[in-house]
Amino acid sequence: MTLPRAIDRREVLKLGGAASIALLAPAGMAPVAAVPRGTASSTIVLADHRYAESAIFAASLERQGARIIELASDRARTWFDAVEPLLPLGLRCLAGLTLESDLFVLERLAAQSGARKCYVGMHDWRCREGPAHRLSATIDLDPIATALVNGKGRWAESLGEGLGQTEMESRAERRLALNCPMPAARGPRFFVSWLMRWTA
Amino acid sequence: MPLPPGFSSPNFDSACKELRRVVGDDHLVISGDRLAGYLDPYSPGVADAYAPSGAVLPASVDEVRGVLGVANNYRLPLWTVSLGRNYAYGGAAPCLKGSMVLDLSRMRAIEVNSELAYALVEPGVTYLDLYKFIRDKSYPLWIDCTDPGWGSVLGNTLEHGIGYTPYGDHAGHQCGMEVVLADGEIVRTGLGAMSGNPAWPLYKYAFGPTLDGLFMQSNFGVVTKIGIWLMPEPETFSVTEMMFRREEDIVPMIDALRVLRLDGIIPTATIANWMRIAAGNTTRAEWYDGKGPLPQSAIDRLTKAMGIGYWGMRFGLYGREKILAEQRKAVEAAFSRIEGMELGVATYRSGEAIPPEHATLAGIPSVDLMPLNWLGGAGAHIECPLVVPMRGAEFLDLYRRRTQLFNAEGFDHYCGLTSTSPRSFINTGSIIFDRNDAEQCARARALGRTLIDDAHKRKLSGYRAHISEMDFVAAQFDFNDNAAMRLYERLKDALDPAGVLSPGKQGIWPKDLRQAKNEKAGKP
Repeated sequence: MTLPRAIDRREVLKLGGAASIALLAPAGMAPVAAVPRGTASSTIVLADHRYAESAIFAASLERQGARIIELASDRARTWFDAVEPLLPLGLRCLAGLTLESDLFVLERLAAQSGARKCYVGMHDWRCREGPAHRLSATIDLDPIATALVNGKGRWAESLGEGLGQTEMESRAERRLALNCPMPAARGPRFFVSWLMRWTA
Repeated sequence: MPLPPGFSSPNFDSACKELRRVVGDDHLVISGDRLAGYLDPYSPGVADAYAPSGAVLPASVDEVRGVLGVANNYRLPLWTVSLGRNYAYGGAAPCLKGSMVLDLSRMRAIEVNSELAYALVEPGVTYLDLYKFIRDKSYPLWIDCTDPGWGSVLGNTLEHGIGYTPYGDHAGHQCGMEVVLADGEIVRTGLGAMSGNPAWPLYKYAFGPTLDGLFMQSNFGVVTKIGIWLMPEPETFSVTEMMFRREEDIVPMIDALRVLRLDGIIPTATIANWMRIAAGNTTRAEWYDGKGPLPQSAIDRLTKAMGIGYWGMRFGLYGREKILAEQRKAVEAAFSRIEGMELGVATYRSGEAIPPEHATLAGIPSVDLMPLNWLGGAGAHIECPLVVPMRGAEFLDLYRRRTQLFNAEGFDHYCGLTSTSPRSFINTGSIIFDRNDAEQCARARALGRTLIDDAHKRKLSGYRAHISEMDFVAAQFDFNDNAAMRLYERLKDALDPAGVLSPGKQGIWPKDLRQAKNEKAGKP
């Protein structure tokens, strides 16, 4: 598979619009959520409906074929009752835009069945210095970064679109910091987006 | 990852080769993501100082004995964990850098006797597992679980962990223990010392000394099985939740609770301050974005908006409906004297669904780490929960002092009180911080040390501590020139002469390492 050339942060910041996303995810690559509807989805996205950002992100991935599961207040129940039973049915990726503690719990529960985190984005727009988005991944980060830069007020939706377009081939870990203006919002104003996958 | 102290690479490789023979290739971990999983994820910036050299995962008592044989031959330090989810206290990480983690998570046998209401569990059994096992068999029994409930039943019990039902004192409801000593000998305590005695998990005391406590919070053996008592499902379960408006209300609250705890009307009860309640449901940024602790104006806004008091208290009542009705009357009479108190009661009859907010009071394990999001970032916490007498005025003084100390380091004071015994509380004071923020980590470490030190000035101590503070806390037990520690050390030297079992656990070091440590500290 031919991979797109790596782009640096400056290039990401210069790119704009859907055309650039398409450029970074050419035909032939396997996007995260491209699965036939009506079958057991290979990608589950967890939604915390307390927070609009989480629900918007999940809906964005759902539009690309992922299945949404609502995060129960007991995260272990979400894992054991809703997610883990889907592993024998072909579940390969688990994603979410959640609070960080949820990633902490789910990462440890999923690790027992061989899942590994391949993308994490910290999104922070409380009153503080520094970039709003800190991303790290062992998959292609460019579509995600581009989507965030272009997303503006609809960053959670764009983030879902970007993650859905990401090519999944493993590569060396890459980190990126982006400072994009974020919308005024209520709530925590701190979320983590993440993707785990089962490769075996 | 580091090598064990005193090991060369070839020596370590040779030990690993022998360990693989015991447990199989897949169950010795010396590199990669799996090994990184044994680092302390909540470490306040000092994880590398407590990094293990590897992890070995036996699946049976025989394999545990095999691992101990190798460890003794090589003088390889082992750090025993059941699952390693003791996160605020170090997780799976060892006190001694380079130790090999002895991970017992593959030992997962459960046996339940529904008639006599007990379970026998191995180290890898979680509260979630035990709950599911009982539910799947439809046994009319409840467990008591800690919160979060993904940890090991055996591990939590050995660490003197607590829960929220009348069986919340986990060590108090343990009965019967199987231990592998450092030399590989298998011992069963109490009535288990008699082959086949059916009362092993039923009665704690037998003929001769009681040994079980020696293997809790210690490094004298590897506990491979315990018995725990289970609670019969009550006819009625009732949750009482109360709110109190003012900080100083804690004085009459505690004094009233003590009376009701001592006469048996209220079993285990929990008190939470405004921050513990708020952090369980919201994040700090929703109330205040500035640096430093929340100002009083923000606390006032928060309590008003959330409709909570400065303090909340809750407990379950369990049993026959008529008895519970009388107990509730006594509760109302005792607490209604406190001005502004608000009281709510929810009652569930046997078989009725219990909602998530009341799950832990019914022994239903769940996992939600919401409070760790308080400051955003990658939330973590450390703490050294104090054991405090159940006296209101004394506690208010301590609370105000600890609030000052938390605030001086820029943190909000997270405070909880749980009374699993009728005369004292476990006072949790979680220091919540962003583990990716070096400056916050440094402040968290400083505050942790200050809180322990300040408590000692009042002659109070924690009952657990993070691995980085175990020596510091242990040194405070100074009666008769630390006579208790000298006894522990004599036991350690007799039971584990090669010093392979969990060196440094609770401040107990084997002879060689003790001498090195003392020489470094200039002690004789």
